[in-house]
This record gives sequence, structure tokens and C-alpha cells, in this order.
Amino acid sequence: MCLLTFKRTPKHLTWAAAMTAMGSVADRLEQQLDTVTTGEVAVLVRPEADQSHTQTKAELERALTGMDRTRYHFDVTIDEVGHGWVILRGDRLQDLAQGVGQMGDVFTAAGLDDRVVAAVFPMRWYDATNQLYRPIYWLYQPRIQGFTPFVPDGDPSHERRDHDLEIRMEAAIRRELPTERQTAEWFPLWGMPI
Amino acid sequence: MFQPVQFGRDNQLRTRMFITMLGLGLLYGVFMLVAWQFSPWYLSIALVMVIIQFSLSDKMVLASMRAKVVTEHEAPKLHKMVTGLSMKAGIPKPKVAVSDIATPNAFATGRSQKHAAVAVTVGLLNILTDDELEAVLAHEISHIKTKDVVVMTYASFFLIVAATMSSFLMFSAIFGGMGRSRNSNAGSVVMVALLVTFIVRIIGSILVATLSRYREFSADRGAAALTLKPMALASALQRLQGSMISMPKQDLRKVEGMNAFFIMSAVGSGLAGLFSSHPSTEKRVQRLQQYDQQMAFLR
Repeated sequence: MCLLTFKRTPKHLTWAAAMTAMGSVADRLEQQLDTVTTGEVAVLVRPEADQSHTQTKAELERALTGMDRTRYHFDVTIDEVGHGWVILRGDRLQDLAQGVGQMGDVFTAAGLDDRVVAAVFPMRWYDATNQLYRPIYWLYQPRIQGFTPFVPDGDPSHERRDHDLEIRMEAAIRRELPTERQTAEWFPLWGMPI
Repeated sequence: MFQPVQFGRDNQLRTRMFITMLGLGLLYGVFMLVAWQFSPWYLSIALVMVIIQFSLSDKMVLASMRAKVVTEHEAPKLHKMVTGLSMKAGIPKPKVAVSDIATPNAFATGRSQKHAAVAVTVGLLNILTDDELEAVLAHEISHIKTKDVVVMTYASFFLIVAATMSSFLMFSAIFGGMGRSRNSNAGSVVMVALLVTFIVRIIGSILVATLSRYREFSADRGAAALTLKPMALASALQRLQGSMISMPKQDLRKVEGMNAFFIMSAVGSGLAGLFSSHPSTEKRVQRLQQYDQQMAFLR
């Protein structure tokens, strides 16, 4: 038995491995970093060119027939720019991450995997200084095979981010989660339906 | 009674600094011996010129940066921050100067703590938040507390002597010069002296830059101890470097179609990193993140 264990920082993980990683850090996120799941996770899918909202929704729902509806509760909604959002609901982050992992297989089987933009994990972080919960988001982008943080500054009157908190969050979790270090990849997502 | 903030010891960093300074001491010792043997006149003239230059360096630095010392009335926020930070650091309050340069930057100067000045540019004041500005000022105050300006001045002293000497020697080699009539080997003596100054300049530059990078890390650590907000400095550094500006503002949905495949920029500064006086922002931010985690219980 080793006295010392050396933990390697995960670099870039495929969809399935990334969801497993997210599931395994759920305890740390909730217990040590004061972040709790909102009970929702979303998968964002790009529409085909010239595809109507109705067509995108129908296509996603058709693909999702492969999902176990007795185990996972989800809805499909289309945002104002025509992107599809599959919103998965559940109590535990581990289960939600597992569900998103399965969704990856379903989309791959349906040939939609190259249109999956991101998996979005909305959470609430307890701001002890101001004694309030603030929304934070972890985005897994298959294009870069990494998680990126997104934290709006909390003022709904404008679209501004809290970079300081994003940097702190990324630093706190980077040893457990495959985060993207290049901040140029930390894209925001405004007006999410979750 | 008020106790100044202790920065704590980073033994690894101190050891590295010690080894680097030892290397510089050895290099300069050998240089002095050799230079004195080959060209005592050039060495003496170069020494006098550099001493004069250093004695005027405070004013020269402020003047070259177009920085003007400001009163409390002219810059109350800056003065308040500098007063608080210097009290915490346990040093006399330095002069406060503002440069009208638009490029965001800050620096500390002065041959001693009593004669020190902290200067910021207008560009810096325009882009940083109050927390970030305080963190940057704390970094400069840390430089003053640990006498970095003096240390770096001494560290680079003989480097500048070598550079001045090499200019003289080049001039001498090109146009013919001292000693030719007295000694038939004068030409080769000049060439050997030139070679020595060249080697000293290369190795000295690398060692001085290494020392400077260590002292930047040390000042970052000091700033973190003074403000207890390491991430404010990290944020300021990123903003100064421009990565905040390059942090994407466009929504992911608008750009995701542009890059189809996994893209990673090449990492590694190679040889240029050896001569850099500052560590990379990424490395500094990484260390500040570590300090932030260590200090979490203090907040």
C-alpha cells in the first residue's frame, strides 16, 4: 500500500468521462465549496440551418425516446435564438450527471452529437459575505472537452460577469474536474431557460 | 500596539534567491578581477558613470515615466490606500505619484524606504476596481518593504558597468585606442575584454532576470498578506495583461459553430522566458490562487 497518493489533474475528458467526473465531485462541490445543484441540468443543442423551432423540438424529442423516462424527468424547450435545451430534473447532482452522460449516448445514436454545444450545470453558491445565494454555472463544452465557469454578476439589468468568482471557482475545482485553463474559452450563456 | 503584517517565509523562494544572488556575486567578482587586469581605466570610468546614474535614478525614473508626485488633496483615494498599506507593512509612507501615461502600469522607486515612491499611471486608475488598485499598490509597497528596488539596483549594477565598458571597448576596437602604442598585444587584449564583458552581460542578464522574477513572486505574496485578497491581485494582473479583455463576451451560441475541433494554444515561452524580468501572469495567478485557498480561513 502506498503511503502517498498522487492525484493527477484531469486534462480533457470525453462526454461520458466528464459526466462521471462531475458526478464524483458532487460531494466536494456541495460540502466544501458551498455550491448546491438547482435540481436541473441542461444539454444545449444547435439547430440545423433553416430548421424551425418546431422542427428542432420534434427532432430532439424523437431522439430522446431512447432515454429511460421512468428514471429521468426531462423537457425540451427552444430558446429565442432557436437552440434546443433538454432540461433534466432531479434531486442529486450525481444522478443528473449520470443522466446527461446517458443523453450523450442517445444523441450519438441519433446522429446529433456534432450539434451538442454544451452541458450546463446550474448551481447556487452561498456568498457568506453578503449572506445570499448566487447563481453559478459549469459548462461542459465537447468542442474543448473541458468545463468552463460562468458567473453572472447578479445584477439582472445588465449582462456582466463576475470574473473574480469564476477564477476562484475554477481554481478550487481544477484538480478534480477537467476545467479549461484558457480563459478565452470561457464563453457566457445569457438568458438560459434554466 | 499595532503590529506590522508579517509576510511569512517561503523558504524555497528564499533559497532560490540566495543561490541566484550567490551566482551573481561570483560572476561580478570574476568580472571585476578580469576587467581590472585588462582595462582598469575603462572599468574606472564606467564605474563613475554608473554611480552618478544610480544616484540620480529616483528622479530619472519618475521623470522618464512622466510621473508627478501628488498631494492628498489631488489624489485622496490613492493616498488613503497607500497610507493604510504602508502602516500595515510597517514602513514609512512613500511618496505617491501619478503618471499621465495611458498604458496601465505601476511601479515603486527609491534608493531606500525613506526615499521611496509609488507611482501609478492614469491608465491603471481607469481600468482597475478599488480592490484591484489596492492589491497593485500592496504589491508595490511589498517591493519597498523588502528593499527590492535597492536589491535589484545592486544586482544590476555591474551589469550596467559591463554594458558601459563594452561600449567603450567597442569604440576602442573600431577606432583604435588606448594602449596601442604601448603594447603590441593591445588589440587582442581589447578583444578578450570585450568577450568577457559580453559573457558577463549574457549570464548576468539571465541571473538578474531570474532574481527579478523571484522578487515579483515575493511581492505578490506580500500583497496577498497585506490585503488578504490574493484574487484581487490576480484579477488586476489578468486585466493588465489583457486577458480579461480577451475573455469572451460573445455568447457561446453565437460562436460555437466557428471552431469545429479541439484547439489548444502552444504553451512555452522558450528562451525568451530566461530574460524576462517578470514571471508569466499565468504562474503568478496560480500562486495567488494557492494563497487564496490558504487564506480562506482568515476571512
